[in-house]
Amino acid sequence: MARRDDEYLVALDLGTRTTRCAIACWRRDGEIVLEGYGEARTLGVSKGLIVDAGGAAESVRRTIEAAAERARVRVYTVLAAVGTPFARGLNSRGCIGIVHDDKIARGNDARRALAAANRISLPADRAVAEVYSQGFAVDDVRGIHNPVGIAGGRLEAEVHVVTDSLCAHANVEQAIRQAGFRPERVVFGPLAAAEAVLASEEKRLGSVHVDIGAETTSVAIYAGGYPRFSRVLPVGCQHITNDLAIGLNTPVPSAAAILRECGIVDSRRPRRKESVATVQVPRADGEAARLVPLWRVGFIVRARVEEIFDLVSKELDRSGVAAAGAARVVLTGGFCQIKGARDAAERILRRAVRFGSVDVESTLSQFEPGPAHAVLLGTLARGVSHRERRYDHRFDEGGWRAMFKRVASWL
Amino acid sequence: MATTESPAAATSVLFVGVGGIGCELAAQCTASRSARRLLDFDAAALDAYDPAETIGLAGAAASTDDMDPDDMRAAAEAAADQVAATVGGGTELALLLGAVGGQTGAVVLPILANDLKSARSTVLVVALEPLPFEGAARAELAAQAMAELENVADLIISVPNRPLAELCDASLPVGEAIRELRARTLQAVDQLVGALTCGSSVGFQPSELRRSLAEAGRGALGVGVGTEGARVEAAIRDACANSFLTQESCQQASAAILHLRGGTDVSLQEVRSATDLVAQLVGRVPIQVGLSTDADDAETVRATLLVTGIRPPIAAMLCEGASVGVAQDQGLSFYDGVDLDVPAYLRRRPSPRLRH
Repeated sequence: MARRDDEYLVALDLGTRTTRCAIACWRRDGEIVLEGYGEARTLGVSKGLIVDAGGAAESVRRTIEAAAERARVRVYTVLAAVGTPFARGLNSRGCIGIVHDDKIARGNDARRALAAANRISLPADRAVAEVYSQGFAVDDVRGIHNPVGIAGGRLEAEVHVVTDSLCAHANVEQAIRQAGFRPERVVFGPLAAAEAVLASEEKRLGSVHVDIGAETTSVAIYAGGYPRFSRVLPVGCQHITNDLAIGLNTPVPSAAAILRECGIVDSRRPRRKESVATVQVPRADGEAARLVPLWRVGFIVRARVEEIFDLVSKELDRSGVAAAGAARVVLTGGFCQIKGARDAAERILRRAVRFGSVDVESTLSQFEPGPAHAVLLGTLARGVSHRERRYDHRFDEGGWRAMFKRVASWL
Repeated sequence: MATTESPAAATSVLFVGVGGIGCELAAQCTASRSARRLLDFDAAALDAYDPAETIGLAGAAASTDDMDPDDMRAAAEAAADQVAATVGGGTELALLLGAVGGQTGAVVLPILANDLKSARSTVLVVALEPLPFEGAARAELAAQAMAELENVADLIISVPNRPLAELCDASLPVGEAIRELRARTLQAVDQLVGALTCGSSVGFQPSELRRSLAEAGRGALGVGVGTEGARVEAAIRDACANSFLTQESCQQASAAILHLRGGTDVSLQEVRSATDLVAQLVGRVPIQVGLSTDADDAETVRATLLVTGIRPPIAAMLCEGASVGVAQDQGLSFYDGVDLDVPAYLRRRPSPRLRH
């Protein structure tokens, strides 16, 4: 119980349907070991946005307490993942002149270029959620990871800036405070998950990360090793369940059970002489259950699944970067638990599809990280990189001045 | 561009006309084909065709409107078995032609398409939609048939139901306009069948063509002829001016197939300019080009442009939402004007009101 606050990380994924919390020990070698996990049914969240502050705070409290009990730690600060349909990713560029006599870029130049790239004008109701570097360019030579020590006249920094609703972030922070904890940082969940599940080769060659949650679907495109596009759509698995509930006139829990049992089945109507597979469907009015042909379930489910992937396709077209070679799709989120999800995605998107999950060292015996945990574990990884940045001296030059700065940062 | 010189490379095509108009057009089609079958409930109408090619649908009442739908389906299934038996199951490509505004086409086409698809054929359906003046009942019937066909057929090429004045010269008398429309449909189908079956000259690789047509969704067809000067360009422009192929359908397509048929003097430059022209129309989508040459066709080029994978414009779905009583307020559940909270299967069903 008596451990230092900065020895562990607490990540929270306040999803529309399920709230998940993971507690990990952050070792000095930079690795994290998962020690606690908790999940609870979410209350008061719709399409990634808090609509009932009390309900959301209660979900946060119960989830973190469950994870803390398992990890045997006391939680103070929490990293939260947010991804609302208001989020927009944009690519920005900042340019400065290298004015030194020797024309060699210093660490300070890199920082100034990044600051220039981050300078974007925003409406009053929006805030910058995350900034991801897309590398540097010195005199039109692109793809430079660290420009310090490279000679040139002009230094450009490229960044992917994600902006989101200011209120959405403030509400999540408030829910954490109301639950009795302190928000450490709010990260953009979709890109945090994408960073964690995509292999570095996939990021370099170009890949698409699609996370289909309960009521939101996020799309992130990577090319050349960096994020190029991110977007959150207001549609998810819960829509499939709702469609089934409406189409089959059955309660929502029964529709969810049918979806779990049947998955994405064939929507082809069988011929009369062929045997017709059926599924038992309870009635919404409480009367006796009836048998419904399985193809009817397939018809309803496929229409929604095809629409979700059509929207994803549309976003890929809009991004303008998909054609550059984003040939592989990595799928995460609760959608992956539906039978036939991968085949459907491959057929509609016409790309190679794999399920993504985050490999993490764990001391938990009954916890298997899967595609549904990608945002949560990605948030942990993002938290690590944010903490490491405090000790990041990538852009520092040598000498006494740098040493003083470093000592000052430790203090 | 795929080049095939061997006669053995021809794709085996089964051509089926369904219902009165379907049979009439299929019977008049002059392009070479592997097999042709004509299906109708009206036995008297079938007497006008080659008995070897006709299959009467059993259980005909005075009119198909008086028939029990279950009886119609049973008759269609029996006929589908007969079609499968006559072709021996060796058909690679099945082209079904019929009007979906009538009972025969609306019932038989989906069943036949389903059966042929089960027999591992690639199924193309040329569906003639009812004209607006034919009424809402036929439009509704056609919409249901198209929704069913979308589930079973690989490619549905619809001859759209726009007002007759848009499809033909507005100054023509109505009867003549309808005749002209049928003639143009026949020309389009004739040229399409020709393009699909051209195994004896430079053309598509059958396997490639089949792959392109499989699961292609909705499509649109344009045919044109060019004779003098920039004849290839003229043929393409004629195909695009064809009212079956609209600018919207070209923009919403995800693939295009261009087939040119002309004399042996068609130059590489002409083919290239035709491809560039099509690329301008359809944008950044894959274009498959084939060319067949015929010494008798000197100085004339016939272009067949088939765009496939047409996705319905999402904005149009808004009206679908309206038809099921959804508020039009823009909110978080809306995406490009579509209310995503309305079940997708309800929105996908085309509304007859949209089609007038």
